[in-house]
Amino acid sequence: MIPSRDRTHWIARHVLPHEPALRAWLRRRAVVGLETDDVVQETYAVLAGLAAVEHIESPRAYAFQTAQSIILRHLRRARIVRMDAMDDVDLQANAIDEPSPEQQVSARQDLRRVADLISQLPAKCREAFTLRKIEGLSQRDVAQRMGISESTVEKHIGRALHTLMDAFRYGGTAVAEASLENRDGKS
Amino acid sequence: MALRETSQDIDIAAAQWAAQIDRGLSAEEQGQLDAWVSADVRRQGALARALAVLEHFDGPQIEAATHSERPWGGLGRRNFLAGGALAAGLGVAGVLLTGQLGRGREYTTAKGELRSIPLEDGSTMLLNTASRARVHFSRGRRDVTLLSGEALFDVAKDPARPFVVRSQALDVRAVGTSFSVSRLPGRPLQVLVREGFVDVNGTAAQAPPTTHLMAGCWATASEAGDVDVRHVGVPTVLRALAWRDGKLDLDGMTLAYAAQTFSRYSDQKIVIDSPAAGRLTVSGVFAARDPAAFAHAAAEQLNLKVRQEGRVIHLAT
Repeated sequence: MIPSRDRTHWIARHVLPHEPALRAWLRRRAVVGLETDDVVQETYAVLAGLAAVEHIESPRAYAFQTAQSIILRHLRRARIVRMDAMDDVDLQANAIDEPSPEQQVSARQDLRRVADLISQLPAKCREAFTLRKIEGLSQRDVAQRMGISESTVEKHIGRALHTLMDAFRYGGTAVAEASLENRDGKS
Repeated sequence: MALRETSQDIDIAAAQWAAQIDRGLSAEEQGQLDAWVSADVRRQGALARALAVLEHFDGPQIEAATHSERPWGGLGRRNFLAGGALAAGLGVAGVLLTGQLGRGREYTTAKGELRSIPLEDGSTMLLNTASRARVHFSRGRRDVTLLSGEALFDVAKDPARPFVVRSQALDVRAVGTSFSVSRLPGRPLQVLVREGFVDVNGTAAQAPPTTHLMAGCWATASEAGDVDVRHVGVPTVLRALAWRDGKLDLDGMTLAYAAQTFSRYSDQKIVIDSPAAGRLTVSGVFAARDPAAFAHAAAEQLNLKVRQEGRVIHLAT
C-alpha cells in the first residue's frame, strides 16, 4: 500500500516536475463531473502501483497517457457520452513533448517559488520541517531540540508538507499563498 | 449517501499520513493506514504524491546513505543552527571593501589537480582542477575570492564571522554550511548548495535583493548579478559535485559539453568532428582525468568512431 522508497524516489524525480504541465493539459480537457485533482491523484495511484517502472523511457509521456486512460475510463462508465466526444481527449503529441527552453525557464522559476515557500511557513512549522528535512534530524530529535512533543512535530511536518504539495500542484506562488490563507481560514 | 470526499481533504490527510510514516508507524497505525488507503484509489495516489514531495526536500541523509565517508570531515549536521535561527542570522549586513582582499593568501591548482585546503577556522576549501582562490580572514569576517575555476566550501560554524565567497559580481554568504562556487570561462557563475543555507548577493549597486538558497539549490548568476535559482534536490547537487572524488557524472549531458568539461581536467583534447554528434547526450560516471576512457565509452554508447592522434581524440559519426 505504501510505495517503496525506490518508487517514491522515481516519482519525485521523474513525475513531480511534470505535474504543472499535466494539470494544465487536463484543465484544457475539462470533462463534466471529473475534477483535475481527482485525475491527478488517480494518475499517481497508478504510477505508484505499477509492478516496475524501469522500462518507462519517458515518465512524462507515461503520466500523460495514464491520465488520458483514466479520463477515458470515466467517460465509458458515464455512458452518456457519444463515442466521438472522445476525440476531445485525444492526446496531442505536443502536449507530451519534452518542455521547450521557455517552459524550462518557467519551471525553474516555479521551483524557486517552492523554495521560497519554505521561508513563508509559520515559524514553528518551518523550524520543524527544516530540522527534519534539511538537517536530517529524526522527528524525535526535532522534538527534543524544539522542546515540544513528537506528535506536535509530526503535525508541523504534515502541515508544512501539505503547503508544499499545494505549491507543486500549481507551480506558482500566488496560488500557493492563497492556499496558505485558505488553510488558515479553515483551521 | 455521504458526500464524496474532496481531493483537497484527501491531500490534507495524506500529508499527515506521510508525516506519520516519516516518524515510523506502529503495527496498529499501519493497520489504520491500510484501511484509510484502501477505501479510495485517490487516497493511494495522494499518499504516493505526498511521500514524493517530502522526498524532494531530502537533505543530507540521502548523502549519508550514498557516501559512507565524508572526505572533508568536520561538519556534522548537528553543528548547524536550527533552520529558523540560521535563516535569521544570515541577514547580517556587511560592506565588502575590495582593497582588503589584496592581502591574504593565494591558492592554486594545476590542471587535473584536486587539492583540499584546511583553513584556520576549521573550514575546508576543496579546489578543483585549474583553479585559483585567495583567502583573507580578519577578526570579523572570513573572505575568500574565487578568481577562477571551482571550489567546494565546507564552512565551520561561526555566527560572529560570516564566511563570504566573492566571485565576479556575486557574494555568497554562509554561517555554517557546504556549498560550491564555479567560475568557468564561457559559462555563468554557478553556486551549488550541498547542506544548510547560503545567501547570495550581487555586488553591483543596483543588484537585485538577497536570494536565499537552501540545500539542493542550483543557482546561476549573470555578470550583472541577476540570480536564477533552481531547486534540483540534494542528490543532483551531489552528482554535480562528483569532481570532489575525481569523477564526472554526466547525466544526460551533450557530448559537446562533456568534451569541453573534460578539457578542464587534462591536456588531452576530445574533438567532435560532426556537430550532430556533439548534440547527442551521454550518461555515466567517468574518471575526470581520463578523457580517452570516456571517449571510448561514449563511442560505444552512441555508436561513434573514435580515433586518437597524439593528444587529440577524435569522435565522428
